[in-house]
Amino acid sequence: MSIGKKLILAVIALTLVAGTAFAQKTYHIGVTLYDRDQFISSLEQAILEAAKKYPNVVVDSQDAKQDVNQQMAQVDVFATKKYDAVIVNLINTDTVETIIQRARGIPVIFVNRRPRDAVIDGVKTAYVGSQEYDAGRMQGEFLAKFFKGKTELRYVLFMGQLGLENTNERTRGVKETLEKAGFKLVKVYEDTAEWDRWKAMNQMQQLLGTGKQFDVVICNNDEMALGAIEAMKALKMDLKKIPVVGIDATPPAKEAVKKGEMAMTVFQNAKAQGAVALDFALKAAQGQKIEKFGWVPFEPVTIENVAKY
Amino acid sequence: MAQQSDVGKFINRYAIFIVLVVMIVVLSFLSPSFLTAQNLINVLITESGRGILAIGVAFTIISRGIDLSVGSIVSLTSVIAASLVQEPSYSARIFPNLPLLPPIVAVIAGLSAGTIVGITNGALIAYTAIPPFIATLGSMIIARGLALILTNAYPVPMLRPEFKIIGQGLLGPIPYVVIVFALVALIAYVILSHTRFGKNVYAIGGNVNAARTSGIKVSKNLIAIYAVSGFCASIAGILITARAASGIATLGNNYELDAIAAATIGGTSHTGGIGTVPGIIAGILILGILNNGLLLLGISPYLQQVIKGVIIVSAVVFDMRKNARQK
Amino acid sequence: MEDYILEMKGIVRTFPGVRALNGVDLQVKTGRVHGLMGENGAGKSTLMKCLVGINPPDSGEIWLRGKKVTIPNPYTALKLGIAMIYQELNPVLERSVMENIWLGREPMMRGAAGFLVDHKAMYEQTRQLLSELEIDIDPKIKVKELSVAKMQMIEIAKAISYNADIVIMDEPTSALTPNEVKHLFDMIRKLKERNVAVIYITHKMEEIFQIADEVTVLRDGNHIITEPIEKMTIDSLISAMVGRRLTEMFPKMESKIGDVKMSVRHLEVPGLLHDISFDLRKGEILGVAGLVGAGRTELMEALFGLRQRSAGEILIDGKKTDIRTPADAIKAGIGFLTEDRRLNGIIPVLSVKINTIVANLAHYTKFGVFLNHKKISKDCEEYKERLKIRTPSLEALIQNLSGGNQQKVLVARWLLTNPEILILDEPTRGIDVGAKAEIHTIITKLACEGKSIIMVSSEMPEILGMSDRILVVSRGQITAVLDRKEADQETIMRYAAAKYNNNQVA
Repeated sequence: MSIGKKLILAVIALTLVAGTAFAQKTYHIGVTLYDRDQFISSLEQAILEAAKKYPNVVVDSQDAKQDVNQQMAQVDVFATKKYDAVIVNLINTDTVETIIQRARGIPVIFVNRRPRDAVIDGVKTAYVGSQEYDAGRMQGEFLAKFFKGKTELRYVLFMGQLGLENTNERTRGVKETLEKAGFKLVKVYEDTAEWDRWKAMNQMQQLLGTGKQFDVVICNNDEMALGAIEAMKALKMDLKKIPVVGIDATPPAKEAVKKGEMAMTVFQNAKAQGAVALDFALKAAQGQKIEKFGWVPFEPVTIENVAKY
Repeated sequence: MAQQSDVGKFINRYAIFIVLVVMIVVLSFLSPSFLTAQNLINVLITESGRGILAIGVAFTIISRGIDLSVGSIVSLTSVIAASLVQEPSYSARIFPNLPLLPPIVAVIAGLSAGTIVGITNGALIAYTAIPPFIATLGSMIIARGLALILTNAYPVPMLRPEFKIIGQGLLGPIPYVVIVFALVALIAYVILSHTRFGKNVYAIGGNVNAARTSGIKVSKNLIAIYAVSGFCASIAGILITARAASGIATLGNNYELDAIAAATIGGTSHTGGIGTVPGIIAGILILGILNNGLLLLGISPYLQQVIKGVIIVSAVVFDMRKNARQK
Repeated sequence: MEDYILEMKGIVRTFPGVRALNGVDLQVKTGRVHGLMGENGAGKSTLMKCLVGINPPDSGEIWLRGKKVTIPNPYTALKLGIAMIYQELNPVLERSVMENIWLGREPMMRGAAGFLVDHKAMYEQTRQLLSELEIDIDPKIKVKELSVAKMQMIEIAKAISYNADIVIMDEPTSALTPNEVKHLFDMIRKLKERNVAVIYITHKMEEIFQIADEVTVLRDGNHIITEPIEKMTIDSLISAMVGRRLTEMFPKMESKIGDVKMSVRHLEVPGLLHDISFDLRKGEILGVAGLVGAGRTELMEALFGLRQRSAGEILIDGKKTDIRTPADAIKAGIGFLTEDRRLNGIIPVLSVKINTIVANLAHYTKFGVFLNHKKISKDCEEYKERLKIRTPSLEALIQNLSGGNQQKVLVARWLLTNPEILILDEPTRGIDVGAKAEIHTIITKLACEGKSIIMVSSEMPEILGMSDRILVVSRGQITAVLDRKEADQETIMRYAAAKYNNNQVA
């Protein structure tokens, strides 16, 4: 490259930078994630993708590695650097007040982990996520169609950690939907397997050992559903007749749906959550009005539409 | 005394503080927000818990031991203290029928729990000759288990404001947690440098036979040393819990390693008998400023871990070289 | 009766496998210096460790100022007015002189600050103490900055600072110069004037006659005699110390002594060895005698390349051989059985088999990588038979074998390297009598096979019973090379003390 060309390029670059600087302010948005698991990573990716659409948005994304102290320190630094908004994926929902306090007036958009409604004001704070109840409702709607004509459903239910919002809401969603559809629910087994594949598998094995009969296996997440499926496959049970349903649409769960082993799962839209979160953050930074809640709908995944996901 | 002015000796002696100052200067140039009162206070807030932890652990390292249980003590303290100050209106309380207790009761209960774990560590090490690494590894697992049992692994939320004020309140511009950190550091300094117990800690670490033949009751001192470590860890547990506004059974995961790292960087030698409170504070500040600085510069936290590891190993290599040279 | 400040009666102390003290009595008078003598392992230090509560006795009584006491730990001993200067120095190297002296009893502030150490007072008291004792050391300096001699002086100052009325000194002069020894003796005399009883452990004849009032001799954990020093002579002391009978413990066979195998000429190791020259012949057992600290082990280490010599040369088969590292030595055909089995020799948690071959692994590999287990087993089996190693199997962990059998495994290890010259440093220390005789048989057989053997030993009977010639080392120099026929215990002892006696002039 000749010196002349270099100069021309430099001039063009400078003009561009100067032009944008005059035209619009650059918005800095800090992101702190509870940990980079599969779902959160795709959520983070979605935020970064969404930011690319704006030439004047810079995202600084940090991983707090499940340490609340570190998450608070990250918010501290975002505030120190006078960022325009912060997107927080909470490690512990109780830390929300401290987080808002540490942000020192900068808008805080919570994503995926829902804080208490009392702290959400729709101006400086908002929540972006999915309605956990809906995930359960979709399981219920699928099963209502599946068992059309039946009046009684003998069910097995594996729940996530007790006391958590998503455990409660997903469970409530599926039960209420089925009841509204006219089914009489008969409990064969109902316990927590703490989101864990191994625990669900062991509990299922023991249940099968008792010889009790049931029509359906409902799980609060895919991992537990996959554990239950393992145990049932070992006894060569017909998974077409006794449907197992999960939530999350993780890659192994989608495989299981494709093979017809898992009847359905529910897709939580990380991409949409990330995009909406960034949109909220940007609007709040510009002082525009935002909603208190940005709901991203769940989507049911079955053998018919699994290829899409 | 003339040798003391020798440049090499000076650098050897104050290397850790020189590193700290250099880091501060460099970061001030790289990031304009670094050298602001607010940011520095933020660093102190963030590191106060781990700093107090490191001071306690340093007692054990100076005595030629180690305390791996401090991270778990943080979690045990956290859930015990939190469970005693939950809002009475909260339905899923750990102790549903608990009367409204003054927050000091929760603080004392938390501190006692940590101190008891520490005393148990010390007694095991003193009377059964189990190596400190193993004894405290055991209690690390046990304490974490107890915290999980007590809470079923759920957070302990809805803490009363009188308790949360410990973690979130300010005295003028300075947060309480930073004041507690400073007080603990000051008291630890006085103990190590100016009390008989402090001298015993150094003697036991430096040459346990010398301590024994000088009539020092080594067993009792070991118990006291590990009690100090447990006590400091539980202070950290209270502070972090009050700040997070929640008791968390997984709190303090790996903090023992951070504390050991800070003490090591601060010149506390694992061969025993060497280490000072100012050194440890410098060590924890180096780690804290590194964390803060790299965040300010927007550098990946993973790279940060690599840098942290390099600094720890360099500190130990330097330490060994220094001691070898003086032999 | 009443003038005994201390009486120890029938003290028994056993350690695993060893009865170190066998009902020992000791009576010490107020304001006197009581010499405690005996060979290495006679039980002197053990007896004193019983007295200060480090190794409390299994049975026996301790009477202090006419009252029976039990002393379970050093803390009690100090409170009862018994202080000890240990042979193995005991400072906290990283702390200051004054902190070391006042460790555990630091002067404290007065009043409300009573929990704080008064460093100013500590400094003043240390200065005063040191100046009284005419020791010129800065109280604030770290002990690790001091020479060993100065550390020794600090230990002495510390013991004196307890204001104890019994002060035990275990080989206090081992690191002191003649002037410092004189200084120490002045201090001891001052202590006597203050009616302090001093128990003085040493193996240095001249010191005993200079400073002691009474002397007690121990041998093999037994009390032999206690007499006023005036009634003793060097000869009577030595025979009390070493007077054991020679038995069939030493099955020496006459071997054919051949040509000179190794010659050492004017070997020098700064500060340790001076102008060492000697010859070693084929088929010969060369005994090396001397007091502890005379430099015998250091000489062996220098021959084996573990210590760097500053001058001198080693000739093997008349050829100059440059030995700088153990690898050089092994290549030159030298094997070295170290003094301390636990520290330098055995690998406790590994099998007898691995311990046997570990110095020779290269000979047992296929393609330089994989171990040839068949060959290993064959050779180990052969040596097990030859040396009568008693082990349940070759796979047994060596730590489960008796000391004697561990030693045999180490001998096998070195024999596998096929050395022409074998250096044995205290080959039978800590081994029971039966195994000793077996090791001796092995040694003499090896000599008969034409190997050249250097055997360092602190046990006179072993030296006398096994050696063809005896090298006596005193303070890093060779003071005599004695022929088997002309050697006896007293002659050896005299030569061993020779270089130390010269200092008496001071």
